[in-house]
Amino acid sequence: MDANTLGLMAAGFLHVFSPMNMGMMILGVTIGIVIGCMPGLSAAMGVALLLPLTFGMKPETGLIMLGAIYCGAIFGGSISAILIHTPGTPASAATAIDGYQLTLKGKAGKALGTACTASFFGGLLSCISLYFFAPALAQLAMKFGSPEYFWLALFGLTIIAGVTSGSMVKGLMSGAFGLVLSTIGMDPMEGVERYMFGFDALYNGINVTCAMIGLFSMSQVFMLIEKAIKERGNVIDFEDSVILKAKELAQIFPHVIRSWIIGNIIGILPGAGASIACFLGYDTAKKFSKRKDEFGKGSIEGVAASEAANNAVTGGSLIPTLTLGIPGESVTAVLMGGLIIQGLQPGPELFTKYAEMTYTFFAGFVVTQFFMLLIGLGGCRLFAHISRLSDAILIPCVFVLCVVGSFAINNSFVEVGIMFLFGFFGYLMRKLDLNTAAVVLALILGPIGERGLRRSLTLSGNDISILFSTPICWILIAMCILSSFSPLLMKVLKKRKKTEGAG
Amino acid sequence: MKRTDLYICVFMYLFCAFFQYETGKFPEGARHYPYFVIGLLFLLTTVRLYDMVKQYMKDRHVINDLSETFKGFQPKQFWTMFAAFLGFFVLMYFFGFYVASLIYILFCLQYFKIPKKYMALVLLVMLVLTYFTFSWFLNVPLPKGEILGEFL
Repeated sequence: MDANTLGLMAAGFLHVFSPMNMGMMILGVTIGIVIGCMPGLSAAMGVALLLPLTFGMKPETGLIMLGAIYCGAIFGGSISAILIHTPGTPASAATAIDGYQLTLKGKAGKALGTACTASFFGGLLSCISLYFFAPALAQLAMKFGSPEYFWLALFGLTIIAGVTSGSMVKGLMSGAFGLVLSTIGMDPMEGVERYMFGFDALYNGINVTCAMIGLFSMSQVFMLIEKAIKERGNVIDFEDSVILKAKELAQIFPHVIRSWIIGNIIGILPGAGASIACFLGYDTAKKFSKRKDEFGKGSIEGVAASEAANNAVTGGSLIPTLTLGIPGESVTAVLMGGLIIQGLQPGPELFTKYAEMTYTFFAGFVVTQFFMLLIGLGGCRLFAHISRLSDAILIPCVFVLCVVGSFAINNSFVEVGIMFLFGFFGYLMRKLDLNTAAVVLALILGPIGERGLRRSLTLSGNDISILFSTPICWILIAMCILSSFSPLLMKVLKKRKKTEGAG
Repeated sequence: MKRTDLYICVFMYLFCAFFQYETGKFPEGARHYPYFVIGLLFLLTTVRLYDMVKQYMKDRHVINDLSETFKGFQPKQFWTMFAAFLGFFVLMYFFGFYVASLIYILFCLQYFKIPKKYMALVLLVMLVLTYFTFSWFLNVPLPKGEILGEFL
């Protein structure tokens, strides 16, 4: 790490302590925990819904707030997982196993304290890799030209479409569907209107924020209104302390470190996410624990491993998002949308031209973890009661916020219509096992890929061999093929393992 | 072979056909990229259809998974809420955002039989929150409505 980078890091910490940044961090963490602890809402949905709030802010402040919501929501999911046995977000599914058992034993405070402390360490440690790997990867991205950007966009799509969907082809279809939608608007080279049908609002294409609010937030409203409204389980009042003793801290420490490494790697790998990391962290802790028999019956090690892993994903997933423009999961896809709205493009420029802003955001991400610890430990009793908020109240509130949020983008009714349409589409896609995150990603990456492809062809006089002209192109092509067929390979390997086991 | 997958394929083919037809109206230079992505979607849909046909040839059975997919679906509640969404848009257009929100939230909470004291609290929180966030902090000129806007 050179002196310039160290200087930027220090400047980042100086800038982050402005009253506005601190205020937005506190607000973001609190909103994030509230969203995360409510089983009807997800982290991606929360970040998408609150994206319009950042329009009037400085880019770093807006990003800090979105990052704080992200971290808060991932931790918040553990509150309802521990107290009412319903994970607020899928990332806390593994936490519910031992967390709820601890609650039944009258140790809910201990479980919440463990979850909060482990989340803090997981998140904080993930910042280390963010500081070290992000600039290095950005340096590599500086070597990218138009052909590389075309393959990079395709790689981003294949990996998220292939990994996160149940069916590989359906995932890829979702991505291709999004790619077609991304062509709506003015042609970037020829200046021709494409599929605008007289709507001037579509001149710059489908607004990605509208699409995200629709696909993540509005679709969730549709999911809520289709089911009978159920009463949530009662919150068990707890008397025990949420502060861990030194002995307990020592007990969870090795698991936190292991889960941090697991979560970080999972986060860096585009397509995988916190919901996978929490189970991997939990399983690994079970394998290495001296108290294996306590797992499933109320183990603080299990809670710590799951929570440290899912929070370690946060910093890791920001690395490919900020450097290459490939979001690690749906929440970072929304965060990337926030970045684009501020007029910034992910890539090397974030570490050169906008380095001050980027390092302020990184510093904000570090400080956010401390606020998460304080607000989480101090407010978990209050958040526990909020987690019982009925879906009947959430439905109108989230809908109104979806409408006002999408209207605020361009003060236009057309955007509200687009949001609603995407919401309904998103609902059907989720019901039919298609991948909404792949559509969002295609809307973001589509124009990048198109520009890359068409610029390359223009430069080469329509000679397609330019797309295969550099070693980086070939590496990216290999990665595209590998990621497209990775689910298939995994399936074959699993089958072979099963057959060997049976034999 | 699942019935819902069949519907997805039909939709994707129709979607491709429509965009293909529209692309034909573009000048030559602007057609290539849209053709490329439409072709990609067409190809992937065909791969999916091929998989499904292969599966069908194996077990000669179309699984009607619609009831499984929409298990627990409450048609009355869903369509009432859907109509309420549309009603909200109409109200917002004529009477502005705040009046529409007030009526819409009241209607929803009444429909779900939320106790009156909570109804008042939710209404207050939502209206104050949206006012301070969007009108005051972000300076977003929220719709005043075609009718109400005349008097404001």
